[in-house]
Amino acid sequence: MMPISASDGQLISRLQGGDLDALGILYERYKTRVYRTALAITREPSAAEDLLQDTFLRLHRYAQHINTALPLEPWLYRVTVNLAYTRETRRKRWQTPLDGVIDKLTSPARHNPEWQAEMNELQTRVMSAIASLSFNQRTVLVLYYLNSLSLKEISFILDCPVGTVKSRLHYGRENLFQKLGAGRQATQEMVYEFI
Amino acid sequence: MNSYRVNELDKIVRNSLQDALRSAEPSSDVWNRIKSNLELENTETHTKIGAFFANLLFRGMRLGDVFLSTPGWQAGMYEQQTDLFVRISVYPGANIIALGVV
Repeated sequence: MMPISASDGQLISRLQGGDLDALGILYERYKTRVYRTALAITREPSAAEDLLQDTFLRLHRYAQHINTALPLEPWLYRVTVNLAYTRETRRKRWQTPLDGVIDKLTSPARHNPEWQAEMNELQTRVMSAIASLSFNQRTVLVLYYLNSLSLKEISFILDCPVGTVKSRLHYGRENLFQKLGAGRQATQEMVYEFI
Repeated sequence: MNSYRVNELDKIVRNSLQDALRSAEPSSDVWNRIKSNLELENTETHTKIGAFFANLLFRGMRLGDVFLSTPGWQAGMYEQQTDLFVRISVYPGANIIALGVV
């Protein structure tokens, strides 16, 4: 039995030898992060679980081709995003009206008794705003905000140049803030300091 | 909008996204599905198809539902708001592209 403290590389090596216990340990280690990433992109729990399932089935299938010297987590995100993109192209998207959210988000009255209750609604509306973005912009924002990944890591996951990631992040944030209620004039003054 | 407000928005979006998903966890059923799929990979094609239909019956297959398959190895199910899509995977060369239930 493989110890749960084994490194990713050790577990992949065991998996390459057909050890399914190693896959189980990797699943327990990364299931939550992969699931939340998939959920942030799809907003559907059942779809996120399907993506989680397919990501680890691919890990099993392609274990022989994985470089054990490299970190596994970006590879898992890469597969998750690719699967999400395939799914995205097969279904319709929907949008939710988001007028006025920006004012609530930046309200100085955040310590009022009502503020916490409103935050729950705002979280939902921020999620909706992110979900209404294009797949490319949404994915970059999720990886950047939720997973706190660097531009270099995101470029590996998306298999595109860092400049492309920077561009998608820039326009994604601009679109997000506009959907939350800020006009274009407001977002023109944004100053970005990316990792 | 000044840069202070932009930074505040950035922080709020990050916090909102992380907080909204903080308690999100996959069901324990996912790992069982993964193991079932891996077991299916070691079975013959006709057994896979039998397991597929058994799975449909278990999940409430209805008259008139349409099921589509794509090349690959694992079986899975996608339930959406109004449509039910099921993906079945068979061994290459099994020549099953689409399955319809009538």
